[in-house]
This record gives sequence, C-alpha cells and structure tokens, in this order.
Amino acid sequence: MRFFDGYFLMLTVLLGLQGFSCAVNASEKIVVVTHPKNTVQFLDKKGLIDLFMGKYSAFPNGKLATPIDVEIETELKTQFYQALVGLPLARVNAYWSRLKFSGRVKPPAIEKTIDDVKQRLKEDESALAYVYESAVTDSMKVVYRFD
Amino acid sequence: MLVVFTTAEFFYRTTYENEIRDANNDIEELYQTVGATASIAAFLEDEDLAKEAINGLVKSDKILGASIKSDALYYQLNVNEAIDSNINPRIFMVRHPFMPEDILAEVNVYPNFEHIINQAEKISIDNSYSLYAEALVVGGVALLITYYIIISPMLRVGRSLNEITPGTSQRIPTPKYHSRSEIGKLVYDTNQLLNKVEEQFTQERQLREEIEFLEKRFRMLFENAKTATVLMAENGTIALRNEAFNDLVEKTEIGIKQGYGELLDELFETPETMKAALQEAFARNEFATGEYKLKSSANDNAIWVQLIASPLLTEEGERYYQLTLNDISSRRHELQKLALQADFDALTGIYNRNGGEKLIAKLMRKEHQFALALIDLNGFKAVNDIYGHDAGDEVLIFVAEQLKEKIRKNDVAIRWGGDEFMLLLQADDETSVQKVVDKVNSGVKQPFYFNNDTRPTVVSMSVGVAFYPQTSSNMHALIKLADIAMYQAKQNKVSAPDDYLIFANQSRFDNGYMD
Repeated sequence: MRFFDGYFLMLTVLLGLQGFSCAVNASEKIVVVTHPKNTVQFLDKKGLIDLFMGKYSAFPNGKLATPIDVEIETELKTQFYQALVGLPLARVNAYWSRLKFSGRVKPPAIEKTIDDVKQRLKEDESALAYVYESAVTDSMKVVYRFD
Repeated sequence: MLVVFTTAEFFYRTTYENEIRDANNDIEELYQTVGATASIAAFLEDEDLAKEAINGLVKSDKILGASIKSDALYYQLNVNEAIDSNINPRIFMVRHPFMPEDILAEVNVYPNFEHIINQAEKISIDNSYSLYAEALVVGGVALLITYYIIISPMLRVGRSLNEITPGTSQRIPTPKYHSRSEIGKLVYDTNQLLNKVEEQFTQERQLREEIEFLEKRFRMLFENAKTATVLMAENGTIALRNEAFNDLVEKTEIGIKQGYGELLDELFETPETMKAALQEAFARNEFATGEYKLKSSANDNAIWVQLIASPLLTEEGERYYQLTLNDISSRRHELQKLALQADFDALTGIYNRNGGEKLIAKLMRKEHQFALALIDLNGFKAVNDIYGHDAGDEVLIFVAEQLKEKIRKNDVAIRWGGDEFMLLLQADDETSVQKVVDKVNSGVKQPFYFNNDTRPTVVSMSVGVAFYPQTSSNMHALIKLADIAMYQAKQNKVSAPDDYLIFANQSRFDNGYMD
C-alpha cells in the first residue's frame, strides 16, 4: 500500500508542477484536435488516455482513431503527457517500449513537426493530435481542452 | 539437553512466525515488482501482460497461486489448489496506471504456507543443530574448564590429603589460583583442622610420655619394694607381683607358682585363721593385718610374715586385693629370744620367776598334777657378806647346777628370786617328792671352798612343798602354802636340820607343835 501512497504523492506533486507550468505557459494551453470532419465532438480525459495510451484504437463512434505524437516539439509533447497522464516523457517512453513486444498495442503515430501534424490533420480523418491552443486552425476541431 | 530442547522449540516458534512475517513482506515486495505490469494489463485488458504478471508471482517459491480479476479480464494460476489447501489470499488492488484513483482489478495472491513452514522448519532444524552443536561445544568447554579449574585441583587436594599423616607438620598445598576460591577455603580449613590435630597429637604424646615416665617410676617403686606385694583378683588370680614376693615364696617349700589359691592361702601354715581374719575385715570393707607363719619344710627356719590385705575397687567395679607380706621372721626370732630372756635367769640359766609362773600356769591349764617345792638357802647371806657378791653368785650358780643335775627329766628348776629356788616335780605323792628333794639336798650340801680358804662353806636349804591340785588349785594360794611350809622348815633348821622338808597341808596337822 505504501507503494501506492508514494505513487499518489508523486502524482500529486507532478500535477502540481503541471499546474505551475500551465500557469507559466498560460498562453500556451494545449488542446486536442481532430479532423474537422470527424463526427466526434468531444472527448473526455479518460477517453483521451485510452486512445493515446493504446487501449482503444477507435473513437467512441467506432471510427478508427490515429493518435499522433510530435517528435520535434518536445516541449509540447512533454506538457501534453504531463497533463494527460501525469508522467514525464521518459516514463511514457518506457511504457511504450515495454508494450512494443506484444505487437497488439500500437503507440501513437509520429509526425516530425507541428506543421507535419497540421498537415496530417488536414489529410487524415482518423487523426487525433495535440497542439497549442494558439496553433489551432480552421482545419482542426478541438475535442478536448486542458485547463 | 532439556534446556536445549526447549530453546530449540522456542526458536522453531519464533522462526516460524518470523518466516510467515517475512513471507508476507516478501509477497508484498513480489507484488510490487509485477504491480506495474498488472496495472497495465488491467488497463489494456491485455491477457498476455496479465499472464506475465501472475506467472511472475507464482514463479516465487513463497507463492502457491495467484489470480487477477477485472471486468474484462481473468487469469489465474494454481488458485484451485490453493483454495483446496484452505489458504486465504492476500488481496492487492490494481489501480489505473494513469489515473490512480481508479481501481481496475484485484490480484489475489495465495502464499505457499507449506513452503514457508518447510523453510521455517529447515531453518529451525539448522538452528537446533547449531544449538545442539553449540551446547555440545559449550558443555565440553565447561566440562574442560570445570575439570581444570575445579575437579583437578580437588583431586589433587584429595590426593595430598590421602598422603598426609595426621599429627605431622604436613599440610595440603593450596592449588594455583585457588587462594580465594571455595577450594582454597576448604584447603585452608582442612589445614586448620590438621593444625589442631597436630596440636592435640603433640599434647597427647606429651601426656603419654608423662604417663609412661610415671608408670616407669611406679613400676620401679613396686618392683624394687622390699615388701612382697601382690595384686590379686577376687578369684585368686595374681595380677601383679613384685620381685620381693618371688624372693619370699622361693624361701618356702612351695616355690614360684602361677597362683596360691584364694587369698594366697596355700602359702600359709594356718590358712583358715588367716582367711577368717581377712574375710571379716573385708566384710567391713577395712584392711586386715596380722602375723602369720608361712608353710616351710621342717629343716628350714620358720618364716613369719606380717600380712596387710586391703580390698580395692577399680573404676570398673572389679574387686581386687592388695596383699603385702612383710618378712618378720628375724624380728620374731629376736622377740622369741627376748621372751626367752624374760623367762630365764641370766645368772644361772635356769627359769626365772617369770618363766616359772608361766610354767605353773601352763601346767595348771593342762591340768597336770605336780608338786611345787619352794627352796630357801640357809647361810647364803653370810656367804654374801663374807666373801662378796661374786661368791654369792657362785653359790647360786652351784645350787642351780645341783638342782638341774639332781632332778628328773620332766622336773623343772626355777630361780624364784634372791636365794629362793623352786622345783616343779612330776609327782603326786610325798615319797617321790622326798626322794628327789633329798637327792637335791645332798648335792647342795657339799662343802664349798672359796679363795683357797681352808674352812669349807656349806649351804643348806629349807623346802616347803605343795601339791597341785590337792593342796590348792590356785597358783597364788599354792605358792603361799608352799612358802608357809618352807618358812616352817626354816624355823627348825637349827633344831632339826634333817627335817628340812615340810609338806604344806601336812604341816598344819602333823606339826602341831609349831607356834
């Protein structure tokens, strides 16, 4: 049980840090977006986790979902995962490297830059990505907004 | 060994409980290693991951079986077996890996109690073995230490105690390093005891020497005593006798023997009187004394002893008699000689008046008939006056000689005193008296010449005779009557010199002319 206590404590601290970073980057709020045509209007955090962490590969409406990570923009990625699962990027990477062998669960697709992500969002109706709120364009539909 | 057994049992209990606790801790730790996998498996509803987690748990010896159960997932390993064994599971909650507030599944872990118990037992057995081994080693060491520190010194002390002769200056040496221990104290106390024993021995030895010295003295005193001394038991057994006693009995015809009968009666000539006197004194618990004659052969001199006998009572209540026999033979001889002197006249060698009286008494006692003739010399005073005492003595000696010569064998001549003589004649008739006295008279009347004097001296005699018991049976009366008769005869010495002999009773009647 102690393990869990520690886990909770750690999570609390990390969430606090995230809150801090959010405050710092008040203008840099992250949002989760899809292809505008996607019928999904809104996703909750749990649904996002299920998709990004590989539990489901389809939107609640049954359509294929392709979560997309951005490779270059480490800052964004870090902030996103911190906000989503409360874990540093290293832990998230470790999670994936453990699951890679099973083959059944796929990690998010990778785009190099924000622009690549934007491009992908234009082209791929199943795409699901995270961007800074400031970077949201008309070709994106915000389904989740981190506070 | 009982202690070891109890200790081992206690160790087993403790170890068992420790092992159970340790196993529980281990199970927790084991779960933590697979917890993340289980969490992810629950999240992803991934059976492979769930298997991996559960298998990972069951791989441990300490876990018999495990299961994971969520809405979408169930996997178990060995759980049925564990349930059969009535094992209660440890339940762990599996949380959402990213949303810890969500519980996705639970993992039941069934500890392998059998293994845990085995482990505990194994450890306990090992413990017990090491305990036994330790006990053995400790016991051995303790035994060794006990032997070298306690038993060996005690044995040495015991050995030296055995070698010690009590009463000597030998002492037990205190064992090394034991000067302050109980053994040291024991040795000290024993040595103190030995000191006391030696002291006592020395005292006793001194006492014994003193006693021996005294005994030697007493023995010397006893052995060299001139008085024959005998210590004899009541039954006559002689317990002690000295040289003087042996010398004494050697003089008798009996010689040295083991015993001489009760109260030495074999030694005495008249044992009855001696024994009677002694027993009478002993009955009064007094000492007895008396003079007794010892038995002796006829040709030996008679041995007289003064016997002093005293009864002794020992501390043990045994009765002894101490008899001392003082040889008084020589003294007795002297006394006899003295008695002889008392009875005889020194000048004439015949009986004196004292001896004469004794003889008369004796004759009277024996009731012998005899005639008592009292003789007075006539003319003796004149001899004394003219020629002196020596001449008178000569006359007396002459008369005594004549008396002795002329009387018969059983008659006795006595110098009664001065110029008076007496004859005790064995006769009861006047005729035989007359005959003897005439013979005597004729001898006495012989003329006597002094200093070449040409004129002879003639001594005559007047005689009065009394018969015993006819005249009188009383000695004094008898003598008196004889004296009266003699005096009558003296009266007519000139007128009728031949009538010099007068019989006492006769004179009264026949010589009526007198006075």
